[in-house]
Amino acid sequence: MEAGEIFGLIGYSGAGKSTLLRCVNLLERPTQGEVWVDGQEMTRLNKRELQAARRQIGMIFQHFHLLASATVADNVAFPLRLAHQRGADVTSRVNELLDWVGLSEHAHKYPAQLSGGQKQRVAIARALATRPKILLCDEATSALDPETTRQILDLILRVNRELGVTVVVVTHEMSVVRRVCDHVAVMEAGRIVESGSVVDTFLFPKHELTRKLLAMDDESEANFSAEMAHRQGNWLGERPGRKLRLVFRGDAVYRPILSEVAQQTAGHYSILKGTVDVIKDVPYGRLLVQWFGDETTVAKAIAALEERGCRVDVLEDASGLSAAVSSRPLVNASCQQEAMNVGNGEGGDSG
Amino acid sequence: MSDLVWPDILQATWQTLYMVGVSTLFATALGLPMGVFLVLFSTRHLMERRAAYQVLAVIVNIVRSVPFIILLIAIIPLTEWIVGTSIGVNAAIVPLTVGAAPFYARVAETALREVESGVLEAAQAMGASVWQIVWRVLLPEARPGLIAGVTITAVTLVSYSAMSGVIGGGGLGDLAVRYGYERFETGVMLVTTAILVVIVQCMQMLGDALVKHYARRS
Repeated sequence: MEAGEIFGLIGYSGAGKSTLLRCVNLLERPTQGEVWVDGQEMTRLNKRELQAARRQIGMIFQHFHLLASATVADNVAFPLRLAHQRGADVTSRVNELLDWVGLSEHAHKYPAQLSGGQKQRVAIARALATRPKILLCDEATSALDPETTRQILDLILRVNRELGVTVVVVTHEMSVVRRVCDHVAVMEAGRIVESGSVVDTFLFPKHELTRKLLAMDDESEANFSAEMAHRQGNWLGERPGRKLRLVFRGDAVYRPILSEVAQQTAGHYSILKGTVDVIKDVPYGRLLVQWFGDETTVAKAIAALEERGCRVDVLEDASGLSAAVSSRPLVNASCQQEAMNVGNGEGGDSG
Repeated sequence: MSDLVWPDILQATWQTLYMVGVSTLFATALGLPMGVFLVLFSTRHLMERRAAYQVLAVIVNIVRSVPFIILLIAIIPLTEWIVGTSIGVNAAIVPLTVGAAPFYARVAETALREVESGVLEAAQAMGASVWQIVWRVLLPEARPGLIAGVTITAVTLVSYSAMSGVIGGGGLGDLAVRYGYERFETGVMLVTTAILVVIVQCMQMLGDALVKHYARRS
């Protein structure tokens, strides 16, 4: 993980993502291997050194884990008092933090009097009190409703952007990764099966599990397929042509690629489904189109599209589309194997 | 009921309050650390030590399983060594404390276990040492339960103290047994018992009020 980024760990429950996260501050001690944080090998530190190192790593949890017997202000002051800071310094730092997370007026309340979102804000303020370089978020939004989740994610983004804190986010929700993360690692059975930039992973998932996780997102492969199946036998079904899934990112999103290609190849197309959006400042488009014409016309169009930086998957017309998206040789078994080696970022290559 | 008895009753009331008060204090002071260690030493806790946990648990269980009247007599040598005598109110405080400390240890252990492990973990993640966690997390978070435990211990000690008459400890219970039970003075028995009921009632109310005060936050 790079300093200053937000890194996501995603996978189903039991995949080992929380365990991996807890290895970072050694809440969980790995049976073998090394843990390097900011140039320090954590497993080699003695007790005191580890305690000092942990003050550089903030952590927030799904269930907040605030002190029920202490006020909001005392909760935020807690790590400062652990570090033996003086009274006046503690007070001013606590006020500053509560102001920053927007909870100044709740300073003297107890956690039981706060909503879930407010509790997580307190937890974030507490985690930031000792000015850590890293913030670990263990399913920090999983106990919150969608609106509160959005607010907390915005706060996490602020932590990253305004304070320059490196953030590691563990989640089982792809939407969380898409909203805040720069890089992501997908985990299954204790292993990282795929990792890379969020945009690439999201647009060009290589591992089966990544696709499944994406399918839980509303803009999913499953939807894609369901949509396709639904359209069998209608007007489209009687025309020659192929269904293509087009994915493009960056500048390509804004250029008139489709009409250029249509003109160049004297072809026609219909857009069946599509999204044009931005993931973490990177624009992307994902379209499902029907390209009309015989095999040669379609092949020409595909070549022209790929020339312009568009990734093209030819979808089978068969009904078994849920397995979908097979197609051209760029996503095949050997490619998936390669994907298991970390950091194979660019999925934009074409076959 | 003769008039002569009233001063005795008054004196016995003070003796009971004194014995129960002092032995509750000592039993808590001794039992709380035992409870803390029972928790810390237990499996998957901050200082997991199986052997130490077993030793402590066995000691606690032995003392708790010995009937109080036997304990009272069995530790007379210890009482003499500490207080200098084996008779009287002060001598009664030693067996009362010894008997109640393991009891409070178990009550405290239960209260301390109620503290969410995640909160302890959060403190660990913030770089807290084990003792910082005990002082700043475990004890404050378990405070309502610990206070409720003190109340239970004190009430239990009221009935234990009735038996301390055996070694001349005095107190209301002793008076009730000697006058009421052995001499068939029903009046004395009723009055002393009534006072005991009032004392227990007051202690319980005080304890509940304290628990409520500290628990309103959670």
